[in-house]
Amino acid sequence: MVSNMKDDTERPAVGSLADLGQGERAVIRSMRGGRVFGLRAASMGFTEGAEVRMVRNQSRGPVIVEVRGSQVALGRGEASKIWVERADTPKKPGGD
Amino acid sequence: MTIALAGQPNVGKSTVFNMLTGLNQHVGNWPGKTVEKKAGVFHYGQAAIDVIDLPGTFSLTAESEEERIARDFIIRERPDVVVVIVNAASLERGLYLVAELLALPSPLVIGLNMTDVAERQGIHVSPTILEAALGIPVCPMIASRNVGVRELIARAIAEANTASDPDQRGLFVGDEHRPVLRAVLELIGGRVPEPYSEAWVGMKLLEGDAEITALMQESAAADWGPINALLHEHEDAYLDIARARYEWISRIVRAAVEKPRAGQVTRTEIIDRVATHPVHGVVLLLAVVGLIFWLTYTLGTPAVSWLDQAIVGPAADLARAILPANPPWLRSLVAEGMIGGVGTVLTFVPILVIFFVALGVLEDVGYLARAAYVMDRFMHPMGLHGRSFMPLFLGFGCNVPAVMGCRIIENRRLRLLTILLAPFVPCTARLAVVAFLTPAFFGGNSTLVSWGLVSLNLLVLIVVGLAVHRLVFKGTHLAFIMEMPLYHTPNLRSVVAFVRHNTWEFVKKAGTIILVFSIAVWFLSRVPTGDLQTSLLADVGKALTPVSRWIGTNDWRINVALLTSFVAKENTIATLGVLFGGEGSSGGLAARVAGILSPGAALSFLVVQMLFIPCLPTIAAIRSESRSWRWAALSLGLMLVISFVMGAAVYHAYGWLVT
Repeated sequence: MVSNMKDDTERPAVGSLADLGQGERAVIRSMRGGRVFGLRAASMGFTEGAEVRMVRNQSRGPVIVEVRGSQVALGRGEASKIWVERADTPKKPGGD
Repeated sequence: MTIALAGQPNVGKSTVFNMLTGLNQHVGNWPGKTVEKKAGVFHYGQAAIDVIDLPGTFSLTAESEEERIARDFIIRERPDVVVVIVNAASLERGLYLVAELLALPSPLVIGLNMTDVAERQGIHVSPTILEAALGIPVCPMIASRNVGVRELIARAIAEANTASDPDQRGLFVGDEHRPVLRAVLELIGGRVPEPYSEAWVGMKLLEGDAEITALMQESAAADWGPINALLHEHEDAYLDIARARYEWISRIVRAAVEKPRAGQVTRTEIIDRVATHPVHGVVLLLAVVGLIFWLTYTLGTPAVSWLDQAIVGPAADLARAILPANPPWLRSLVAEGMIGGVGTVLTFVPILVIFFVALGVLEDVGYLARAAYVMDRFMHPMGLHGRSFMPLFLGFGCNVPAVMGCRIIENRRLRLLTILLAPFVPCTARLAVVAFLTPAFFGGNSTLVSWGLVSLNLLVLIVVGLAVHRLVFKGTHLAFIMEMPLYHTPNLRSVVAFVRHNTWEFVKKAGTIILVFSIAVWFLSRVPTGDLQTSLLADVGKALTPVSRWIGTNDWRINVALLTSFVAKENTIATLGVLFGGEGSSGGLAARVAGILSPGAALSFLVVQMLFIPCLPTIAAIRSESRSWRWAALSLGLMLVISFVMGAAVYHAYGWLVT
């Protein structure tokens, strides 16, 4: 966890959701990928401006993200189509 | 009066439905669809009220059959009121569906469910503020403990009686696209067919909805060009619409919901530290599946033998005693063909009940989503999702619940693929045949051979999965995006309803098919002489010897043993017993069979036996789950070909390696 926060300063502020470390928070900036995925993701709360928190991200396999009060599992490929901007002040992570 | 129940999966919608209708429910299919339709009746004072349980959906797009059914029902059938159940602990998600429902013509009432789960998370929702902000009745409730359901229904009925058709609501469009929507509405004015409303159609066109686009293309005919051009220009308006809905939701939630301080650790998070961990999660999952199998063997197996001794056996004896001795085949037909067939169906019931209790509880608790999550990366290469793992793994116990368990997979394509793969998982009955024969066939190497056979089955499963994914589904990637529900205590009533309904479905649908085919196989094995050795079935076995020569044997008895395994896999042993004079010790039988087979042929016989066509109950389950005889026939044909090709390959490879 500590190492994660240290990395923050070196990593770009904007990147894909898949690159977010466990416990990190960010705001969604844009959605890429096709309409079918976009519509599905948008209806599950992944829209521009939404706040997200990475709940689980192992360097491979799907991730779990908290968005709009629910947790959603997302394939790594899908997560990399969502572009996010890291929150400036990482809040003290709760559970991890 | 008709009430429609709407809501996401896993918010307690079925609990409400079961509570209202009890046994007065009818489960069928939506006309022409593969989605289940649950309808029921309950009495409120003097009035009989129809309840329709709409499929669980997150939104009302055209992207899934469930969503199309839900919206079509409301648009075409115009229920007097739509009761939408939302989870208080994830209100935003639930309100998204509300935002979509608002644009449809029926009055709405919200059942704010799981308020207890929300409180435990530190989330406090004020129903009064929510009601004022939404302008729709909101009833707090805890369906699992029957709190607030009565009030919900009272308000729904009051709303149905008083509410006039609501004005156009729920047209959420971001500022950027508001003028575009106006322009679309102008262009489609007067061209929208009944029973659709222009405003809703306009919004769905802007959303790029495939079904509504096709509808309007036909309806607007020559005037479609400019509409299409305008829509094309604003292709990504759907993102703006979704955002506008969520902005509306955020405003409401800010007013009506008190959230816990950030950083508070919830029960769900604590459990998920283990349950979704890449290593511990898999270990936990294996433990859970192990427990299911343990329960099956400790509870299911005795129940099966009790059924056999207490019901099937006495029934057969009774039939023999009361039926006339002439014609001679009559007693055998009833006692062995018919009652035997019923017995086959019955023996599945205890096992199915245990499997369905397990699946029902795990789904209701919220664990199946976690199991799917940890297994997803292993299933992905085959074009499957994590959801496919549980049903496939159940196949080691029995393929029938594996096929039926595929119901937990929402996506139809994934469901069909998983159904096709399930029979490749070697079930207990096939493993028992292997355990019986390998020691006599291979002595000290039998463990190695058994493991090899199981591995071969799984390897074939993977290859077939890859091939079907690539060739039939063209490798198209299905997005993996899945809600992880909060854990909650399972509701007994829902689990009981789930078990009762699924088990009954098997008995009713698969039962008749099994019965008919059991009688047919009985007929073939008795006609004309009453002896299997000289029956039609034996003739078929003899006729097939040119085929069996590929797998290294000329002996028609081997073919007959395989053919009878179609009714039930364990029949292989019983048939060999009859044909090889198996009254002696079991070891003797296996040794006698081993005596007529070369080692290569013995190995290939076991390979064929392990991969042979699904048993009759499995075929019946495939037919009733896929609702397609063609899919059942495909499964049968595929396994028939694969089993013989693999058998022949193993036989020849063995001969080639050894000599």
